[in-house]
Amino acid sequence: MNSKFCKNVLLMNLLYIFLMFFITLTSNQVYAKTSLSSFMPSVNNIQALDPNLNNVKISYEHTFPYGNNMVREFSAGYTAKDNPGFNIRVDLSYASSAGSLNNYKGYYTRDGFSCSINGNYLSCSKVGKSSFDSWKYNKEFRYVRIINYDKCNSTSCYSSDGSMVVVEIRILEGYNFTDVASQLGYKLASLVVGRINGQISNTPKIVIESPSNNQVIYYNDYGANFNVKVKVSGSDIREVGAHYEAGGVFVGGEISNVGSNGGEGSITIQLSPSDIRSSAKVVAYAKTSSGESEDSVNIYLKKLSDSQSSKSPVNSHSSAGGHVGVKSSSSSSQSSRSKVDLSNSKLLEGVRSKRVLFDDLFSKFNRMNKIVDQNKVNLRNKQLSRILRNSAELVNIKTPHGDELRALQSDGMVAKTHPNVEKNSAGWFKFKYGLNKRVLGKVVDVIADNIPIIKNYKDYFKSDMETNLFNSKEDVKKTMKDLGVDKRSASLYNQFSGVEDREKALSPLKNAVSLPKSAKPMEFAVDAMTMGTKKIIAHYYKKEYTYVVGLARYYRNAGMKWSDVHKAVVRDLDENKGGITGLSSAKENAASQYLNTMSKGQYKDIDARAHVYILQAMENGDLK
Amino acid sequence: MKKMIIFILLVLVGLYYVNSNPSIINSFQDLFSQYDLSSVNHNENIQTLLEHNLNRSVEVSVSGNDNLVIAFSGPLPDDVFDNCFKAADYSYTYTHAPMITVIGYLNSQELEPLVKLTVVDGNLNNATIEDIRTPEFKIQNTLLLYDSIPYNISVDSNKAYVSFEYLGNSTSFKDDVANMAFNIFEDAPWIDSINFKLIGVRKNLTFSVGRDEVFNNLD
Repeated sequence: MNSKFCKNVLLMNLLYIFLMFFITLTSNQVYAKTSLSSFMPSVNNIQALDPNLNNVKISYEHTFPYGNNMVREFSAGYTAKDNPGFNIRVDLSYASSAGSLNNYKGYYTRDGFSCSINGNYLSCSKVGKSSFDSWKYNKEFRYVRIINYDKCNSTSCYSSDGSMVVVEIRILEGYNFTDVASQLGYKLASLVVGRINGQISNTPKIVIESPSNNQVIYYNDYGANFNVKVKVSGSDIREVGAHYEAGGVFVGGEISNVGSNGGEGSITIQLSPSDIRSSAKVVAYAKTSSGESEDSVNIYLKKLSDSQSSKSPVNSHSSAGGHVGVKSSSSSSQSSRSKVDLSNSKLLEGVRSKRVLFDDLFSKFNRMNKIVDQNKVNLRNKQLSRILRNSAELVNIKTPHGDELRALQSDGMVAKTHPNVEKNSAGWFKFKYGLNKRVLGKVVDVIADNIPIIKNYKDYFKSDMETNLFNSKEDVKKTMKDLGVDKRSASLYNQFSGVEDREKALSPLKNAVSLPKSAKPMEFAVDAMTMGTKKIIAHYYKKEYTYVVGLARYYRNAGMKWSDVHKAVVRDLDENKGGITGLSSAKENAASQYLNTMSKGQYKDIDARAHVYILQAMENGDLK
Repeated sequence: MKKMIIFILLVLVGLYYVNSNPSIINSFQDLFSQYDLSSVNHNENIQTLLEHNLNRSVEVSVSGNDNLVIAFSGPLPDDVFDNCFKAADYSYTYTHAPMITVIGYLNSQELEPLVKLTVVDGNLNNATIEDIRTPEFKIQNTLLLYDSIPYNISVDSNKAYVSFEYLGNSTSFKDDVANMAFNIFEDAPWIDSINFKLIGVRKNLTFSVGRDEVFNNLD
């Protein structure tokens, strides 16, 4: 009986293994799926469709998971006065069964479009009377084309998940006389379809002439600079650029001295010490209205030994310096890292391989490099370490422009106690505050830290203990003492703020992640920032309170009923100039917006908060 | 209230007792093991996985062949800082990327860069942590600690211009400004002097503090 059972289990296992093997076999076939973003028109493409278009922008873009669908929306203005502009939406998707054009026709006619199928595409339009004053009609144009990949002879239209690519273009315009939506639509459609069929050939050619591949560039303490020289051929070239790229660092920019029909150009790239990695890439690109191409070379950066170094940044291209050497690619400069090529990883499918979000950061760093005088920084660091070496701990914080020395103070800087607190606090509260902070909190810490899973959730225990220990009045006092703010701010903070809840929800993560020692200085700065964040929120609540009560007092003194005062205040928050920081109407005010995000639940809205402010002011006699 | 405290203490003592028996703990740890690779759907890419795990939208890109760059934002500095480590740890577990760069932005009144973490070969203990805040943002945060509301701050190669409103007690003003100036010189070490503009209810006050005044008084 027992052995039979064993055999059965063995059989089942074998079957299971075969099944899994079969599944992995079928699912591991590698497809070369072209990213849909390469078919998408760019802003320049849209601009090139019609000279009357202006102010073309991408207003929305989304790539769905697995990269099978992509949407991009443009907004554009039009120079004709009777036309407010366009909203253009391009929808691309890979599909295995896309349905027929007749299906699409059915959907659209149901929505009131008049459609016609011409050969292999569908075009629909709907003209309606516009509800706006300045123009009479609006028109919506739609274009659908289903491209069967079997029919396209280029490999670029190969799809793994489906056998078709569906192109859908929608254009919305309002107008009086000019009606260009359909013309634009056809032009745009032919562009996109042409790209998918691989028929567009106006891609430029770009070659990096210097530095050569695997060249070594030397740097010293001040950084390095080198020339990138490119050669471009093609017609109608709109943009040429080059940048140094390593570890999320991008340095470089546009090359302006290349003509529209190609030629040679160069740019000098200056690297600060923090930009330097042992191996990096130089990437150059050229764009025309319809295509884009790229070239890249690998470079290695090596530090000059002291005997070689000069005071100025090293010029790799200067003939006098002559610090240029060529090294073979099998060198050991990359040996410290394991060799995993991310480009083949399946987990990274659909992830963009170009920079997306860092433009802003890049410009900020560039500006910093301009204003920071490194000599002065070093001088001050010396001064600081001389003065404070006995009285405070000094730590180094790494920044993009070199190290920064900071004095790490124990408690004084972070939690300043507001003078009002000391006066009002009674003995019993003082005792409880001390008990909580010095005894109970530590006891919970010590016990919980020894229990693996529970230690992540100890903040929940603590907050539960605190709510039991302090009543609501004492809670306000505790906040006053913790944050160092006055009573009104503290009570409003306790009532509205969602920061504590967020921190509590975050605490399991905070307690689970064990930060390395090198994180200590930055952790200190981050803690101080969190304290500052809480303080400013409390202060803003009070400012908002004062502002709202001021408005309410004005209307009450004018003899209004309370219900009317509420209405008038809410209306004023919409309209009045000079919100709580005196800059704009209260609802658009940055401070109020900030409070909206930082408050909890129903208080995420200034109207709801204003209601509470007025009621509180009535209770405590600020309003009569 | 007293009952509640006693109850909590009893629970904690009980858990401490459980802790002394390792077999119970081991079974617990198996249940809660952090990254269970078997549950990963390998059709999802790292961006979706991270978004799901960090509960926010995440930008992922690849620089070169071996550097994974991750960027995201959060409302609280703590939140961003801790999640940077989590993101690095998590994405190394899945991709084994040789180099991972995580850039954390703080989503306060404006989107501000906060911290950059570079991890080579998944070695979190030797991670490079860079403070990528702009000097203006650093100064803004310094001011917040001293009971003041910052309005306009700009820094150039010689001077910092700071306009702020002071909410604290008038007796502590002098001390606060002295400490504030010291910390601003820490935030932007290359400047020589600070131009303060104190914004009052009806009148404004402008004064400047030089570097030597602050540093010589410390001796």
